[in-house]
Amino acid sequence: MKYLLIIFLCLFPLNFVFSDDPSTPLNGNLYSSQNSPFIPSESIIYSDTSILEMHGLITGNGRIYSTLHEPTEGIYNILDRNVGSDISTSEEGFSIVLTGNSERYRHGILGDKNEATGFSVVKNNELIGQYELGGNQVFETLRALIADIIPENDGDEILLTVSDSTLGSRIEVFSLQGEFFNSMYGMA
Amino acid sequence: MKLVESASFSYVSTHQIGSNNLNMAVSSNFDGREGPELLIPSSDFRSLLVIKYHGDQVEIINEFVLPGRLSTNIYLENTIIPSIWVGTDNGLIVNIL
Repeated sequence: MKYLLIIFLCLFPLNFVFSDDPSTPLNGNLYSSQNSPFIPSESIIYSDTSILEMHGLITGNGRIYSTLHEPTEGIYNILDRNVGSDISTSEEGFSIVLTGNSERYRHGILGDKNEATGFSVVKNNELIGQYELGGNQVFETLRALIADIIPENDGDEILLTVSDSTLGSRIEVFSLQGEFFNSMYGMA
Repeated sequence: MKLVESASFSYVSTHQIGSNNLNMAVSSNFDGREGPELLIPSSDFRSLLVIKYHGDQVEIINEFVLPGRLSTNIYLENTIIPSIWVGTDNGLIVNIL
């Protein structure tokens, strides 16, 4: 069995061991700027999925997307990457990798009971920041969101949903160096 | 810095329990005016709502009833003529223009 795993890892780059979602924006953020404004105003229904191919789109695993993500440099040093999660990358070249594979809070809301418990920040192949949750807390997400939500702080911040078996869920904000900034309670 | 809720709106959802699809909403400045809008499913995933925020007010700009339950991510095709693509649980594809 061990040799089969070694052969598998040799055949496929480490990136492909993890199931990245090709529909996830690179910075993890659902905001997208527009080339030209339009207000969604009418819909057309198609019974044949080949219409997507005609527009250069791909379907698979319940996702619609245009291209696969390029492998992100620097993740090879992250040995404890969370399986099934996505790497988020900022325009400045910071990559946020979720780490840990824990079942200490088995809510399974994202499809399995394996949850991330920390994150690492990589830039230019170097680890520049890390954070690890305590207690029964896990990250209830498959990717970090990167956004500049604190104007007085240089650069972007990291937003993650934290789930606690006692306190429920909340959004937490971190610096790119792994420093905790603030949280917002009151989520379901 | 403190995160403060400025507006809220119920009866919408972006995730189905047990799914690893976290891309069931998109945000963009669709109308080109101040502030972004949100394209988000209703809580039963049978409609898509276009929502705009005005300070602490929330306005539904448009609503699209889907021919089934939303079963894919919401893909924003950001080309010269932008549009939105989604799939439903009965195998249909919806293009929103």
